[in-house]
Amino acid sequence: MQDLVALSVYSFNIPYLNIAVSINPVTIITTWIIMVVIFILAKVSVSRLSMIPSRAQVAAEGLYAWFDETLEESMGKAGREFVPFIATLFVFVLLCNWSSLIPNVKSPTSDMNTCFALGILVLFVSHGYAIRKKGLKKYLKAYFEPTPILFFSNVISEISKVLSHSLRLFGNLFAGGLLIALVPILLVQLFKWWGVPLGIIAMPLLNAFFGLFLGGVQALVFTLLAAAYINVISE
Amino acid sequence: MDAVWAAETAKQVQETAQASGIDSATLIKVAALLGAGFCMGVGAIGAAIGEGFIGGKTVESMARQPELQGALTRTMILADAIAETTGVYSLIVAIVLIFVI
Repeated sequence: MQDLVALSVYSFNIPYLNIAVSINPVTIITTWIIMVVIFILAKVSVSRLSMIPSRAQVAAEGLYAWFDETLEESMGKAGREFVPFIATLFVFVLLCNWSSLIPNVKSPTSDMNTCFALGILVLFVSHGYAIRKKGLKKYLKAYFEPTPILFFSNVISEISKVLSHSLRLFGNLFAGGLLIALVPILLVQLFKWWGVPLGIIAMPLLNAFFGLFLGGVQALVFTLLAAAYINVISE
Repeated sequence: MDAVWAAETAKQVQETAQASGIDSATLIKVAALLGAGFCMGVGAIGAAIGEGFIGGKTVESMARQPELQGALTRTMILADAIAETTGVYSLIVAIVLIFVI
């Protein structure tokens, strides 16, 4: 049943443009489940605030305070407006990356659509904030900034920022998931019988490195780069 | 223009296949696997050199100011993830070549 759902990709055709749009149901369902989990975690950790904090409250306060300090020293006073957005982005990407450790669950960020959606989200937020803060004329003038000859170079650098931002997340997670799925098969094919105990030793190490460590680092890099992009465009 | 180029390439693959006695689909697969090997092999060089440089500079800075160890380690891991990016691009291309074509 899981295989049938994983292989089925719902696709429909936009009539006039003849473009085929496809949706992966597994990714969408997993994303919704992660959103529900984040909501429950947030409700639980803020439910009974007291001066002697419980462990969940300590974790939530630590996360918020760390992002508050980091954003305030990099973006100034206006940085504090962005703490909810950046912290939520971080928690969402972190839980998406770490959800591949649960057996039979494919992490949503190993699907290219989620990563590009997050990249386009950061694009809209950063450019929208820059237009609202600087006004449309100053924002457009910034593209001609050092010399007007560099206009196309500036436009292309904005587009390539979005591409590299999303593809870094996608590539690390996709390759990690593929390696974790392929290594037991390869070990059994190469070592025929000794592959099974070698697999039992090697799999937790692989899962710890590619799943926990790289997943956490990639979530942090994604978030800090998003904050840096918002900062750079709005100067 | 694109269709003409595609038709000529397909004709050349067919001629090469018939001249050397290999099936045309096998030839495409052979070329894709070879390309995947080159792609990942050359792409890994840049990532490794960049990260080695980052590690060396971090150790140097830690020797100059040992009290900044925590901040330096965090910055090093951040810079590592960014330097790894182009290596990951070539990994994506290699995986697409092996499994999709």
